Order: sequence, then structure tokens, then C-alpha cells
Amino acid sequence: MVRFAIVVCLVLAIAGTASAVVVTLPNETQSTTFTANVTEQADVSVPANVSWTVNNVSASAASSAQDVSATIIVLLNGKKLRIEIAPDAADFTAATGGSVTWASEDISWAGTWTNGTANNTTMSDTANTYVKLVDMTAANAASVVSADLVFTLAAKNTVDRAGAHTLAATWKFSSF
Amino acid sequence: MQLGDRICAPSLRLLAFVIIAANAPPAHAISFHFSPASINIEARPGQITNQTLTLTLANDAKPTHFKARVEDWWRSADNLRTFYAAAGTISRSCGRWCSVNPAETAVKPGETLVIKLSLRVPDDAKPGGYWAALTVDEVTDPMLPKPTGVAMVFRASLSVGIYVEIPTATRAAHIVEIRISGQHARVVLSNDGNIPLRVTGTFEFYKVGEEQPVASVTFGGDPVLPEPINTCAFDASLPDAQVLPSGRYRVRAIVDLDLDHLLGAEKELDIVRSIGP
Repeated sequence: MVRFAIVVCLVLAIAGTASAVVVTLPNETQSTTFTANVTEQADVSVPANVSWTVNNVSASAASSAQDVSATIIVLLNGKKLRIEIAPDAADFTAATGGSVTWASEDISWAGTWTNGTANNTTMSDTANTYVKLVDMTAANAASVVSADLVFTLAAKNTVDRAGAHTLAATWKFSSF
Repeated sequence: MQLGDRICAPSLRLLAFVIIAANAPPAHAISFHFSPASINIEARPGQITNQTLTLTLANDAKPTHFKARVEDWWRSADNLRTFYAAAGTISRSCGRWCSVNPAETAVKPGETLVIKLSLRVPDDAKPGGYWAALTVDEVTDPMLPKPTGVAMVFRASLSVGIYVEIPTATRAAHIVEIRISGQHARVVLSNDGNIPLRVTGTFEFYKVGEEQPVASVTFGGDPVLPEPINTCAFDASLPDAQVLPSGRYRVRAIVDLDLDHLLGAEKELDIVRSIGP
């Protein structure tokens, strides 16, 4: 019996790792720490485009309400997700044959946000300069959402051609 | 109505329908999940480090082409605008230390794009903080029908901050100003060191002569950079007017910049609440 017990102990020693411990049964003294390393992350969603029906160039025109959202936001403590927008150019591309069109700064926006304070203002007049749309109300919020973001195109009675006037713009998500 | 009018009216209605229908833009949007939101590295001169960024396209998104690059960034002093420029534009850029792979690729709905960032610290890099942004841009599909009316076409872009500290960086800052700006409390900070500092803090509002605040709000979540603009404003919306009505208050800002101490300042200010609708 003694010889058998010695053999068992040797096997345990050879196969064992740092966690190999001989215990008396029953035993509840052993523990393992499980660690989940969660990286910063978020789900974001933006519209593909907005359009304006401009029946009167001497009056401003509002788009339909747009949905913009960032959800499942998981950031390091104290950080906020930033949502910005910038024009890809300083001016729209005018309709065929036209020489006068809107500038990027002729676009403004207004909306309300869940978990955010709106920065309702105008688009930058400079390409690739991003303007913040919303300030998250509190750091560590899990989402920031708007379902009523409306873009307004200012009146411009010097526009001289009907047809397609287009501007490309970029939504930016960051959490520097 | 004359005979000619009766013949023309249906044609005009059909033409109007066609114009309205042609003006309707494509309805798809872009949705994706990304991780991480920032890359923080402590490194030595000559060290090489590899990081990854993942971007997963939503199942209901359209197949999308993405381009990745590293670029410089900084903020305006009022913290409302972000500027991007070619890597190496600012002196404390780590943009030129980086390479990305792939630089451009197509992603199908539900698929995950893995972008590898490789960063090599120059042998002669001096102690301090360096930063840049890993930017992933949606590439506009040239085959998409162009809008026929007045429209703004969007694309999405994601920028992940890259921060490198070469020990030992100098961390220093001071409070420049506290004020009330409209319906916001504002603190302006100056970064006097050589590394970006992340800002969190609290505004406390005291009635003059009292020792306990009647209200407080938090601010922060953004960094204040040491260059090219080393000051940055941090705002917080004032509490509800029922909690903080118009009046004169002692406004205290307590700022945490991950230093070994907090920064604080206070000032007596008049708060005028706007009349709501």
C-alpha cells in the first residue's frame, strides 16, 4: 500500500503544473482567476445620403429626419465617442451648365440626441474639417442616438440651374 | 379648359411622377462594428510593435470598399472641430513610424476586416508623447446611381487614436479659464508638457457664501494636446434650471489629467438661464 501511494505522488509531480497541489478531500481552497480582456468598441450606423426638394431657391429647404446611431459603446473609463461630419469639398458640384451652387457652409443641422447634447450648427466651409454633431452627455454612456436629425440647405437665390447639385460628405467616428 | 389642355394634362402628370421618382435617392446606409477605439503603446527607441483594428460590416449593409491610412490629427481650441493632415505634419507625429496592411480592401456584409498596424519607433526618438490616427474610410461605390436633385452623399470614416509614449514623458497642465458660455460651463486647459493628456472633471456650483454645492456636472472624455494647439475647452451643459436657477455662483472646476494630483480653480460667475419654449 505504501509503495503504491509513493508511485501516485511521483506521477502527479511529473505531470503537474504550477497549480498542482495535494489536498485533503473535501476541499474548497483552490481557485482560478478568469480574465476577459475587453477592447474598446462600438456599433455605428449612418444614412447613405440626404436630399432636398428645392422648389424655391430663395427659401431654405429641410431634409427628412435622419437616423444616426452609435450603440454598444464600450470605451475606457472616462472616454466618449465623437460623431463629426465634414464636407469633401467646399462647394457643391453644380448642375450641368450651372456656375452658381451652394457652399458646404450653407448646410446646417438640428436634431435631438439620446445621451447626447446636440451641437446644432453649420458644416465647415473647408474640406475635410470635421465639426462635432453631438457631445455625449456623460462619459461611459453605452449609446448615443438621433432619430430626428434634419439637414437644412440655406436659401441661395443666385443658383442658376435646375438639376443635380451634389456634395459628398464624410461621417467620422472617433474616440481619441 | 380647351381641347389642347385636356390632351397635355396626363402627360405632365406622368412627367412629374418620373422626376419625383428619379429624385428618390438610394436607401441603403452603412453600419459597422469596430474595435478598438484607441491604441496606446509605451515603447523604446528602436522598438517594433504590431497592433490590429477590426471592422465588421453589418449583415444588412452593402458590400463596401475600405481604404486605411495613418494621418495626423488635432483639435480646435474650442474642441468643436477636428483637423486631419498627412502623417508627419506635426512635430510629435508618430504617423511616419506606421505602416498599415491592407491599405485597401473590399468587405462583404457580415465580414470582418482586420487591419494590421506596424509601428517602428526611430532609434533617435526623444522621450515624450507622440500621436496619430489610423483612419479607415468607406470608398464611394462609383457604380451607385448619382442623385438627380439637390443632395448630399455620405460616406463613413472611422479614426482610431494611436498614442505612443517614450518614457519618460513630461506631464504638465494648468487651468487657463473658467466661464459660463450660454447654457454651458466651460473650462479651458493648457497642456504644458509633451504628451497628450486625457481630461475628465467636474464642475461644482456653490451659492455664494455656502460650502456645499447645489449642483455638479461632469465634463471631459477628450484629450488636450501639447501641440499644435495646446489649449482646449471642455464644456458641460448646465444642470436643469430648477436645480440651478439664474444667479451668482461660485463655479469650481476640478480636473483629472492622470497626473499625480488634481487641478482645481474656481470663480464667481453670473448664470443666466434661458427661457424655454
